Amino acid sequence: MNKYIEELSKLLNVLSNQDRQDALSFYTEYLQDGGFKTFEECFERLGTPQMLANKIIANYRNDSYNGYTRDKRNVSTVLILMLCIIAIPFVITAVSIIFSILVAIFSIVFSIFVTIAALGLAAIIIFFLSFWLLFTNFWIGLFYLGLTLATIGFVAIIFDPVKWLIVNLVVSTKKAFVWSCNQVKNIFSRITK
Amino acid sequence: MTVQISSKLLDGSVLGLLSVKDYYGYALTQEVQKYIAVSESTMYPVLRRLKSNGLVTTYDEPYQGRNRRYYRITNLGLNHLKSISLEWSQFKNSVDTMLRGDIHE
Repeated sequence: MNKYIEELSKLLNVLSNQDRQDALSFYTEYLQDGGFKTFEECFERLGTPQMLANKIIANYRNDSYNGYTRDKRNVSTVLILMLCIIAIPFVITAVSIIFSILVAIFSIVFSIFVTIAALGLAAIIIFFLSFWLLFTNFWIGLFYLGLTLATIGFVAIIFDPVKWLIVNLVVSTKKAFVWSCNQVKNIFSRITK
Repeated sequence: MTVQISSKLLDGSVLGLLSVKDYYGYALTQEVQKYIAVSESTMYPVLRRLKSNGLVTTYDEPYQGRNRRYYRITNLGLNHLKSISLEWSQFKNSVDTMLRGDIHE
């Protein structure tokens, strides 16, 4: 039984200390009075700790919809709304800055990519042209042949790392975005509790 | 189960039981379950709601070296019980009338 209550306690940590303690006291007493000692017995009566925790938490969120209005909740909602309105210009500024930085980073990376690709393409073209040059001026032709070969080799080597870099950049940006969205959601739900 | 009890009626039912005597959590759940099928996790929200609306108070009594929390109906709760009973009996009569097909042309 203690294990059941322990797990329930962990899952209720989104509630305030008072609310969590009230719920835990009730169910601890309930299980004791009913003589449910093993985890299985507790599970049979109450479902999994997760299911029970979900019901308890959902019930707290439901309070304002039960027709019993609570002035305290209304006041804090108004304050939060005002806070959000005031915060809007700051949020817009912050988001614009972050967005511009992202655009800058992506442009730089993308242009590196394009430059390398163009370099490779140019090298290939000149490579074929330099064959013809061999007949007019052998040494210069050889020079260009060698140069373009070296360039093509260089591009081939560097292509994969650059591609990996771009892919990583996109993935990290997406992860960071999702993470920050979750943080905002968490903060918001804590405030509107 | 064809009919689900509304939360208002459940509140009323619990108040009705408490108007007879004080109960602790487990005993109250058992008593309600004698009459209607409710899940174990239903009772706590009901009692919490009743308490936060002043319809019910709690007190602790020691039992076998630990505390047992008892629920007691308040005067406000008794008034609430009366109004719910009234509403319910009107509702019940209307539904019975329709079920019997006892309508006047």
